[in-house]
Amino acid sequence: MSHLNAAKWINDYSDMLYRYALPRVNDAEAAKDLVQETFLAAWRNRENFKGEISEKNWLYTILKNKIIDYYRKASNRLTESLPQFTNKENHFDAEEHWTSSAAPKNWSAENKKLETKEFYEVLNNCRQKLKEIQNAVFSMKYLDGVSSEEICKELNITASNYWVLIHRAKLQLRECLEKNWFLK
Amino acid sequence: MISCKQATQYILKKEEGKLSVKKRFQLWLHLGICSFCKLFMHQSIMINKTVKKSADKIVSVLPESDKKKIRELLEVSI
Repeated sequence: MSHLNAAKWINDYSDMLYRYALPRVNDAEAAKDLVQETFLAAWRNRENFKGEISEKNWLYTILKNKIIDYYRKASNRLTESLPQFTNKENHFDAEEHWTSSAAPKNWSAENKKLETKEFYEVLNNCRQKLKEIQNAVFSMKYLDGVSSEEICKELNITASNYWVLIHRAKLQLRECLEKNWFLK
Repeated sequence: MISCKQATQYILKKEEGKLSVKKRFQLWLHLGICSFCKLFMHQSIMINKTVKKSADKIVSVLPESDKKKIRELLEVSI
């Protein structure tokens, strides 16, 4: 890889890597940092690149590992705060039925065109309201289809933590989309 | 009868194929009388598909200033 010049390399791959990282960390600054770290790590190790896989896949592999590390940091911060965080339920009342404000409403506007820039903006804003660890679990599950067992192992969380996180994330996201898109 | 909170948890587990026969039955009973949870079930699946799709639709590019920064970092790095 040493024969490559850095400029060409960045030209060829930086947008692609950025577009991969962005929806997974859902934070532009964090995504930029991850791309930068990926290039640096790859560049420092370029002598070890044997060309068994394509350059592109090699960079993807490095980036994926960086993203997992990023998720792990969020999950380490979580360990102590989870019980407190789960008590902050506001979707259900004392009998565990939907509160009137949180109960799902009919998305009659479901035919509103979804594959639009405007909708994706709303979706991203709603995702940004998720806590980092929720976003980590959410992205692994819904963007990359990682199994729950694998997610628990990677993030070092228990199965019951996992279900609490997914449940809360889905409730929150659903409500946010309803308020800011479907019933708007 | 299970609560709405439980029902929504069951719905998410069911999406992953991780709900026992007994709980599937309890969920089915609940959904028979609860239109809110039924809406939740449909909307949840729709959200899953939408989120997946949204990642492929990203057209953002890394700003030129960041590319420049990385270029400079690589040039000084050994």
